[in-house]
Amino acid sequence: MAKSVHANVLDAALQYLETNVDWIAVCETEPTTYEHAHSNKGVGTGKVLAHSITPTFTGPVGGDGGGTSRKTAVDEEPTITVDVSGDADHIALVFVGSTLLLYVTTCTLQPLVALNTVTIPSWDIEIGSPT
Amino acid sequence: MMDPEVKKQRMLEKSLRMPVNNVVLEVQKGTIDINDLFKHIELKVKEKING
Repeated sequence: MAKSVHANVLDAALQYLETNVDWIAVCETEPTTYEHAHSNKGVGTGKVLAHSITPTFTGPVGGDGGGTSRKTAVDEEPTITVDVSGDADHIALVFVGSTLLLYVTTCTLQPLVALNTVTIPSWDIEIGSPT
Repeated sequence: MMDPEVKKQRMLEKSLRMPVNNVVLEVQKGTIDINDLFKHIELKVKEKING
């Protein structure tokens, strides 16, 4: 049985991220709740080492997976001040306005030192077409 | 597409930051596979058909 989805459906999901993400956080260990991705490490259950309130996106455009796959680029987030020292290994996208943790990805573990800066390079979020 | 006015404002803020012993992370691309979702729908439909 063949499966298909119109690109507009996938674009709607990516557009939700583009419209609502207002906080990007560098975390130590996996954030699974809003508080994890919004509170600094050492405060409650927070896991945030650094954050920015200026996330921007470029897209959506056709994905690398072919078919109707679609992707959007999370633009580079340059030289964010590190609030708390720790080992960065996750990046979280958050909708603070609705206290929602929307998206989490991984990054190669890197130690960060408070008051230094960290750059999150541009990265893609892709939704594949069904096969 | 992101609201151009919001993007312009945020890009300006980003450009004003100064690096201090800057570390550049290596981020893994996030891919969402919707095949599982379609399989789930198929299963639900079959369940409904079979009562």
